[in-house]
Amino acid sequence: MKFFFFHLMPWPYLPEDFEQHHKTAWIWCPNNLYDPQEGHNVYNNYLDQLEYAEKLDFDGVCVNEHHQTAYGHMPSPNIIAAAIARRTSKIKIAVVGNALPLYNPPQRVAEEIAMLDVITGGRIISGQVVGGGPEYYSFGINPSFARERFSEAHELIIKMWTEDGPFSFYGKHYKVKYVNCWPKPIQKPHPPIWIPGAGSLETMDWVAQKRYAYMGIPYFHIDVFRKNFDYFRQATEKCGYTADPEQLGWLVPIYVSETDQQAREEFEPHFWYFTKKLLKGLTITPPGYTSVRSMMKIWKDSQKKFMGAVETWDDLMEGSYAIVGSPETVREKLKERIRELGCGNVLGLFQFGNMSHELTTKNMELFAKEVMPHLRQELGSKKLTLETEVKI
Amino acid sequence: MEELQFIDVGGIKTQIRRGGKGEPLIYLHSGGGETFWMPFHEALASRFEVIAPAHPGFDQSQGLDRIEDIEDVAFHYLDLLDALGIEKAKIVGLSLGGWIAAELAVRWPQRLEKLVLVDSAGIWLPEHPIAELFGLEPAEWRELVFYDPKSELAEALIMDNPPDELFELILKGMEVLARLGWNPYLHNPKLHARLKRIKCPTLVVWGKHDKLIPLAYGEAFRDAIPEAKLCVIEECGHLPIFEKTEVFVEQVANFLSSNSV
Repeated sequence: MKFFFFHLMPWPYLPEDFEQHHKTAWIWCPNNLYDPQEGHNVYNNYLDQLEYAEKLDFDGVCVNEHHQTAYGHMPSPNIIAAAIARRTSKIKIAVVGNALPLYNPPQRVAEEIAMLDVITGGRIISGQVVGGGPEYYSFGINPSFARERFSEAHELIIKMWTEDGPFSFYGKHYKVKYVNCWPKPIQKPHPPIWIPGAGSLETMDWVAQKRYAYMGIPYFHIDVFRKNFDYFRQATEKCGYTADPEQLGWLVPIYVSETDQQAREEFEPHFWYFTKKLLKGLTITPPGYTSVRSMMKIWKDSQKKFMGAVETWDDLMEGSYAIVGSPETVREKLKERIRELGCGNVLGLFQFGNMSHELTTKNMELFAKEVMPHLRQELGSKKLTLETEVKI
Repeated sequence: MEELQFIDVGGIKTQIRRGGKGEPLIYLHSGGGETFWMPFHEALASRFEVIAPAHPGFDQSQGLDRIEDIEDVAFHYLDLLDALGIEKAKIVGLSLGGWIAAELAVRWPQRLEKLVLVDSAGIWLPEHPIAELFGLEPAEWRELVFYDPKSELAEALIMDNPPDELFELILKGMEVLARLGWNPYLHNPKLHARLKRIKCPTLVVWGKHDKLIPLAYGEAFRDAIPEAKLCVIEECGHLPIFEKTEVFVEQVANFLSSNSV
């Protein structure tokens, strides 16, 4: 069982009446709402939180990539990972991000992840993502080639890490005469690969086939995670092996406070900030971005089983859209859910919406002291070990 | 009534609806995917043999995996003319279909006898950008493409909650539209300068109140295509085939059947 601290780096200063004037925090959200002076403090608080996760004995941190949005102002997860790299020494850094189709040529991703891996002595997990639907609007990339570009870029990156260069690559979307990765990653054959997904069937099939890890992205009803993880396990069986729990990650907002009541009081306003202001627009799905078959499925899931449809606290609790309460409550709920889902990674969002630095660090501390050790003990943790013997 | 056929076009299984008697008229549909037989098809079919293929990826036509851009679609329709044995074609294209027809006409002008471009995509006027059509809600769609978005017609054609089968068709069509027209947006930057190569008599038909591709585009097509004429339809948006079926059919049929240019 491993615990990661996942950060979205949301912009916390959207005006109170934001949703009355703006349809979405994505693509068209005017950037005069951004204030670089405040931004300085926001970035540094968020970076402090990521660094603090190591002191609190989390197994890892996750950084994220989104563009042109108040939802998360971390357009380059590699820069954030680099900032953490030299300020930590044990913790895993999962870069979830690198939206491969947005980079042309995608060699830059292979190079930067390799740099990070070498600098950290092999602490990098390479998330590889198709990118959010809104990013296809923001970057002008054709969404009907999203999946093709993703798999081609992925193939190129893996080749760069595992094969000796120079070699030439001739794909449909990327044609490069001289590919030669300097540096190469320190982990062999390459850093672990995580693939986040919202339940697209072809993504889960592909991840199963490659034996990578599948991260169920948050904001869905717990039933949706269960269904998707069951599908993933079946997909691995079809590929002739049984899924390792560490091939599954559950991304979920978590908030711990002294009592259930206090937890709700402290967490709830930030939850509504997130759902009413930031979340709207994340689901913008440009045509061709996912197959029609998956689109129909995700569309149905998202009608009722998506956080955006949550109207009341009871809805939130019923769907386990977030795990909130006293240490005891959070322990019990997480234990139950983790067993149900059979996942070996919990990726907790401990900072949510416009939650302050003080509440976030208090939440992290309570979780790290009162929840995490119990769950490790009860759910059987191998303490974090690097997958690779690294000699420095 | 029409007949549903599937023909092999250069290895792509292609859906065709055809009906009526007379000279063949090829109708190239818009991104909205009017691949069913509709009243305007039927009305044209009283004077022509209407042949209405579905573009690759639309409805039951295959072959989207072989389409990367609009030029591939133009070649597909060259293959289609060959497959049907039509040496010189009368082609009517709406919106996306007009763009395809124009791409065909600039490359192989000798293969067209007459051309009708209806509220056509394909070129770009920086001072009159084509409106955003991706990611809209049904009500926004109606607002964009109809002169009267509150009409029963508009609500029947663009439903708030389409049944699953229809929703699936719409999604498939939008995927093709995105492939061809995501960026550059609904046009080919090279087409405008090539329009001078069109040799056949050409009628440009435009809904006066088209909010998606404004009338300025109709004028630009008329000006760029040698001897083209522009017919503007009053109280009409992007879809004259639905909103002004009678006027549309009459204008198109008269143009296609007359001997004069």
